[in-house]
Amino acid sequence: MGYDHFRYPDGRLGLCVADVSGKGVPAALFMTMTKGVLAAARHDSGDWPSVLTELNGHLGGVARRRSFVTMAAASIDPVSGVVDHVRAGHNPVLWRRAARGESVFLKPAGLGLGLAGNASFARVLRMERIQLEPRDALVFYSDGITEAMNEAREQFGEERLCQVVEDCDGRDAASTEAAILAAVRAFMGKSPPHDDMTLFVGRFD
Amino acid sequence: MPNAFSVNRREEGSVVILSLVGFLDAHTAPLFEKAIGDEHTSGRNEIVADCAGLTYISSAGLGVFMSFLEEIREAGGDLKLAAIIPKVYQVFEVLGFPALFDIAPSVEQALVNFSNGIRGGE
Repeated sequence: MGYDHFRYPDGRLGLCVADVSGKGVPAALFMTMTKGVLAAARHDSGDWPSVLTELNGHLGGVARRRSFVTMAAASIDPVSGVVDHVRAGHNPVLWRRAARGESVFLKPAGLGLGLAGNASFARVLRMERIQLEPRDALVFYSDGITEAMNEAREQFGEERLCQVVEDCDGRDAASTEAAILAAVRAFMGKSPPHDDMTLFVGRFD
Repeated sequence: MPNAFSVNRREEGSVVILSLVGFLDAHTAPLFEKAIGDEHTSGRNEIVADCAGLTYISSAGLGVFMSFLEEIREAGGDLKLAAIIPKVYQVFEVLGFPALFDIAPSVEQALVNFSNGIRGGE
């Protein structure tokens, strides 16, 4: 599991959260390679669909379908609030529209990276553009958050995640992130961690 | 303690049905991988994964479905998924599997799709 962020020359923030299939040293090495290829690909092209398609080709060639990476990526304009978002098989990003009292999971179509050839990958992939409003939040996360299990083997799930984020309307990104992690840990109780967790919260002011 | 998982095999004409029961995760994925691999190496490439008893799948388990798909299709066969419970289907859907696989609501429908030459994805 990992994430990366960078600044575009025009001031936008680039962000991606990714999860590699499997665990242990092979998965860690695969993620390291993914970060390297991503860094190279985004220098060649500025748009997410091209970057992810190039990444898909590299990962598919190396892993031959036996490992794959899921990724949620976005370009965020901190001034206008315009967000371009792509999702390569990753858990849908939660968009909390605080002023409207709505929570939306962003689900633009997209296959996991390395699962299929570039033609299929590019055919399925869609980029979604949203317009943030003041106090809106974006929550990027790994399945280690929503699939965290309690002692009864129930999963934390998307509904509980939505509820915690809703309860954090009006709070800043850092305290929202802390509240989510605290809620997940409280839910898990004494059960051991099942998967690693990655979480990014952004709040638009 | 490892989670329980089993693969039960039966045949319907030329089609092999592998019924998955329990948790398919990093610990149990090799069992499923061997089951599919055994069919492929013995030349049986029309396979239905009956997922009615599959209660959980992790990314390692998802990788098994992909690992033989290309070889099976190149050999003229297909790997179809059937009877997936909603909680597990959600995981398949997030990853984009409906664009790659022929996913049938029941094993019977998957068998009909084989008879009609329907294939999923690429």
